[in-house]
Amino acid sequence: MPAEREPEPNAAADQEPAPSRQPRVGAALKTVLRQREIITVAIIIVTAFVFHLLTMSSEPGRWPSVFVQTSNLKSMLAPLAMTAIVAVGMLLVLICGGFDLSVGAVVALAGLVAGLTVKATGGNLFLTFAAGISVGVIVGLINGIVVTKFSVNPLIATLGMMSVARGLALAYVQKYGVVSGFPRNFLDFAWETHIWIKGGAIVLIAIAIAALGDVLLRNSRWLRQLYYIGGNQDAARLSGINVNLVRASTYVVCGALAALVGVFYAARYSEASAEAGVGMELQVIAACVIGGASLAGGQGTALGAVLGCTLMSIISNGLQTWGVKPAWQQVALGVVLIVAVTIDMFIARRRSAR
Amino acid sequence: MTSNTSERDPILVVDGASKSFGGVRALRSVSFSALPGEIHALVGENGAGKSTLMKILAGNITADQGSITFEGRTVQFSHPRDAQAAGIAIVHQELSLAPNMSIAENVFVGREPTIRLLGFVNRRELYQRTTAALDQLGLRLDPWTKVSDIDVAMRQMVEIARAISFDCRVLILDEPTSALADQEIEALFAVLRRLAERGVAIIYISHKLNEVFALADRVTVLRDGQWVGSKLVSETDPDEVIRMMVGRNLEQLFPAKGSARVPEPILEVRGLSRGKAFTDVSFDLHPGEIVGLAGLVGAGRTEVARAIFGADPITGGTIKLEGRPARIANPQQAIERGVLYLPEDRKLHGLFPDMSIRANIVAATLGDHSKVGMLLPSAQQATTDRMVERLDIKVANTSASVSSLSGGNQQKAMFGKWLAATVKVFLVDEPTRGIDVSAKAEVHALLRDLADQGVAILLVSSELPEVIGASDRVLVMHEGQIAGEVSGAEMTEENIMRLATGQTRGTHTHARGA
Repeated sequence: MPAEREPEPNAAADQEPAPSRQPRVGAALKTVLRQREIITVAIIIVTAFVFHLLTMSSEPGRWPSVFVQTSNLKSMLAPLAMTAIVAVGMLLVLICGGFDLSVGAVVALAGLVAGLTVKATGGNLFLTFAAGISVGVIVGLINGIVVTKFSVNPLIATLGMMSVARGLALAYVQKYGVVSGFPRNFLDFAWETHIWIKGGAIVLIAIAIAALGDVLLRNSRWLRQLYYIGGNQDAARLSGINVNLVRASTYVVCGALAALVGVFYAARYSEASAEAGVGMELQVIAACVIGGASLAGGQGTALGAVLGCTLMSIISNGLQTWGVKPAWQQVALGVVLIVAVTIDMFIARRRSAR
Repeated sequence: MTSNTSERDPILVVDGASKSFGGVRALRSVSFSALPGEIHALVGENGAGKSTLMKILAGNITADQGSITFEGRTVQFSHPRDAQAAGIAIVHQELSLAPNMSIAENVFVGREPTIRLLGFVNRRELYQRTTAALDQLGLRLDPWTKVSDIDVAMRQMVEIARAISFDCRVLILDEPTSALADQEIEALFAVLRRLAERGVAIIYISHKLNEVFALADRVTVLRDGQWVGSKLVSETDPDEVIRMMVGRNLEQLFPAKGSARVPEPILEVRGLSRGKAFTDVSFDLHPGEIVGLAGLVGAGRTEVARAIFGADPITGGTIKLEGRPARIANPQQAIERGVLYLPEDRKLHGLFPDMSIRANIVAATLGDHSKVGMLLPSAQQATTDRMVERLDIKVANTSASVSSLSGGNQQKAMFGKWLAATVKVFLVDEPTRGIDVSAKAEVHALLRDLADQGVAILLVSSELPEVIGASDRVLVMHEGQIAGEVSGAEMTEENIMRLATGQTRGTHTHARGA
């Protein structure tokens, strides 16, 4: 890239930057390459190829490797879809400069409420989803109000909410036990084969949410406001953006999406326990950051968040098929996160130094 | 004192110093020298480069070009420590003392005499050395007194005590009298003269010419970052120095005053109050006029503008817009009614630094650039192109981040954000801060152009030449209240300063009282 900036020796005399004249195709290519997502895609391909090599059978000619077997790849998709949906919600909060630690607990609480509803209504899926999602909406609303109206630091507010939601789920389970024995149609929803994948419904939903999120984040008036708020909250307010309302709405959407995943989680594992979604908040934040979001706000795309989730699930699946113990998988994922963020900081600093 | 200045060798010589910040050239090839034992005043308007030159001497920043020679050796200060160690001490405009510590601890902060081995502070030596430093200034103060217990004038003296405790050869003071009363200023001058007699070179930065002529031996004038001239005080007079400071005709910098004022006011502010920030502020604003709002820092000017815009809640008073009572509770409501506010700090409150120029320009008008909730890229680009052309923003690519622009162009982009909206009342707060002279002239022309189109403009500014040159009349605030209004031939720096410092209320009371 620096090579293209050379022909401007006379611009130094002028105070203003001279308009750059470069071939159109080159410029277009440069724009594509500069997209943060391209880097993530490249890393995903390289990582996948590495795991393919690592898990190849020692017998010659026995292709494909364990990692690239269709059954293995398919098995990754539903869990990936679940994290991706939560990641899109988290991304909205992150772009606004916020943070939501309560998503994992919402998964558990919403799953529990949905489990109870589906049993009580004898399998009314509409009411089940409505009840589950409303748990997320309520938690998100409380988060949003506490963070905006009462100016509580998002980290503290959602940490508290995480404890409250998880505690409520735990209290129920300790008293009445894990909720299970769901009606057939609820379980079918999570396991039916769509697009050749067992439990493909959630994959389809995730694709729809990610695509919609990506388009809206790029073009809709409401979601573009997130970038302004994340970029400079004071300036956004003085530009007439209703900062509190927009910020609060991100917590509501984030909670609702986490709750949607919670309902599916209960159906997929045939029970609603208090341990569902433990640690999911950090996993999802890590995925968003790997995909280009910034904890300082103002940055990130839904596509990037999904790619971040993909990379993380490839790494944990790849390590698993290679025979690495879960504890070491966690270590590896932590290293990946730190390396990714460090590289990002490095790039950002070089860009701002120009 | 002035008799033999020309025979001594200078202790400090700055040769051809230049410095740019972003696209703004704060200092252009400035040369300057100080002789031992002389009091050398450095004067110039805001933005003339005084503070930049001083920061270079103090090692806070390094010059892009040029050299500094100190006591005959070429030096390069990359850190304030280096300058201090060499013997250049500086007393800043904002006092930098730790209020909860004693005078002695403040004077020797970071280099307290210690008892060997253990590293404990040697309190007796600290006491003695502080007393010695205070004695040199003719001050009787207990070194263990807390700084928060002494008044501002004494704190200034403690700063100077700190400076001379370094055994400094050059003492730089930046606007040291802005917080002092007359007799305190006299005491300060006496101390400075005593130091000069002992051979210390004193560089005295000020824009108060009466002080310069009462104190200094020599005066150097900077303007727009350039050296204009150095004169012996005994061989010049205030008029000449003012001419050197201003240097250009005011007409060049400011467009002709307008005549588009409409008799009916568009904005009527009555008894507006906001806690302790300001009380009982009343004024009218007519379409087609530019009204200056002057006052010292902290007088409440910005607060008034922000309150009208709905950015801060008011605690009393009413606002009428176009003859009807208007309740403006937040910026959205203000923008809907055509009341816009250009903040004074574009980095903190105005721009979205990491976002594109286009995104910045449409930031306040997203609704106008969307259909059924979706933004229209073509409409955004059209508005951006229109603003780039109208404001003559020097930009290669409107997708580039706004922070890649020079200060003046960033300021224009911030203007563009508001000109994309409907503007009836425009509250502009320090619209030319930190931009160079040509950009300033463009901003003034733009404001006049808007006024001529029927916009009512409230111009908040700390620069008196700007307030006087650009406004049709000037409201002056003092301690949260409107102290008076001046217009026409009464719009002079003296009249405004008199009101701003609370010496009279209203321009005519003074005449009658005398």
